[in-house]
Amino acid sequence: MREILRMIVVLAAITGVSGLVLAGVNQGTKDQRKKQLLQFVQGPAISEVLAGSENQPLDDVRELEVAAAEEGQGAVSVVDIFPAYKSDELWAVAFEWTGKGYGGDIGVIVGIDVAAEKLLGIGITAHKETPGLGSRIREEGFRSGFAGLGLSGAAEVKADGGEVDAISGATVSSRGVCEAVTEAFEFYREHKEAILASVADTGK
Amino acid sequence: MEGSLVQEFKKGLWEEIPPFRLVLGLCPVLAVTKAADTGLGMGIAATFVLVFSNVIVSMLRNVIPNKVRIACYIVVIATFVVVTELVMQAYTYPLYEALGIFIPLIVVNCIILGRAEAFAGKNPVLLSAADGLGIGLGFTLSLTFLGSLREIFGAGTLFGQAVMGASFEPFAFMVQAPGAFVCLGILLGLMNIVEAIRTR
Repeated sequence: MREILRMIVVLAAITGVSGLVLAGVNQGTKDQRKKQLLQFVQGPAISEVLAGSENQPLDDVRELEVAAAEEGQGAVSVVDIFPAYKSDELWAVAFEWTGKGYGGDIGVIVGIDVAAEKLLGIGITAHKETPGLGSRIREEGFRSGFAGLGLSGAAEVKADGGEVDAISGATVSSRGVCEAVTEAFEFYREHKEAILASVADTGK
Repeated sequence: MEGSLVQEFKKGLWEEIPPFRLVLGLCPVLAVTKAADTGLGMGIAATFVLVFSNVIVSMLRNVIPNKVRIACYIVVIATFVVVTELVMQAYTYPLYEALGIFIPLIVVNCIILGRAEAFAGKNPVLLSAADGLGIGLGFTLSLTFLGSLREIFGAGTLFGQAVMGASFEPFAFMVQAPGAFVCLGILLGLMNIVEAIRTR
């Protein structure tokens, strides 16, 4: 009996200390990890989507707090809004939204032309799709199918009655991207005023 | 004591150099040695985990009950692996991307659990650290060497720098999985020949 008690205590103690260490490291590297993600993953996609802006969208990022309905009352989630300006006027905003792909969540950057209420283009950030099939959502040929879509509708692949050419052999991944874009549209429509207010100031 | 410290350290570099003499931990050896820098990065990450898990396991060797020792070792190792993963994600993101799934898989690298079980669980802290450092360095050298070979012949570069001249046509075979097996096999054979000559 004493032996089993000792086993439990030791194992619990080691696991507990490990948990503490990991929580500390996780907290300690959080900001730095976010920065790296911005630089190496989101950054290139945002720069591409917002090509032509006269500011640095990555530096001018704003944090927008919105009520997170699915997490219950009073919960907020933070969405990073990247604004792009042309001749000192707001031209476009970009933000990231996720959709369900074949192997996990797909991160999609959507760039929205504010005046025309149209999609400028999309960029893919994180994904776990099958290399060679689903991973082709990163390719220009697929992504360019989204440019120019109107914000009032939804993004759908042709098989579902939409305008986007799905990648053959990767319908689930293609739909995942469409889902992310459609939800991003909904989010934009719902929070348009808050989004525009958060980036109204050019920061100069 | 001092002599054995050096001895424990040195054995990892030739006598028990992990991929070639112990033939352990081959999963990352084959997978991440497409290029010299990923091999080096993987080696350093594994060495870090190996040294620290050896030290902690050795410190706790009289506290850990024999029956749950493997579970304890794995918790310790997994903790250091996650620490490594987070730190790499925070400071060397491109390398983290390149190594991908093989960083978390260090947890099940049999070299690390093997050293904890065979050495650190029975020996004092300093000796265990020397053992971990030696084996880790041997592992790093092997991965970097294998990575260099495959990168030179498979892509004509070394650490990203062109080394083979413009007329060189890369063997795509070398950077694919079969190339890893062939390279490893040839190196293993060469090491056996050298060892046979040395001990004759």
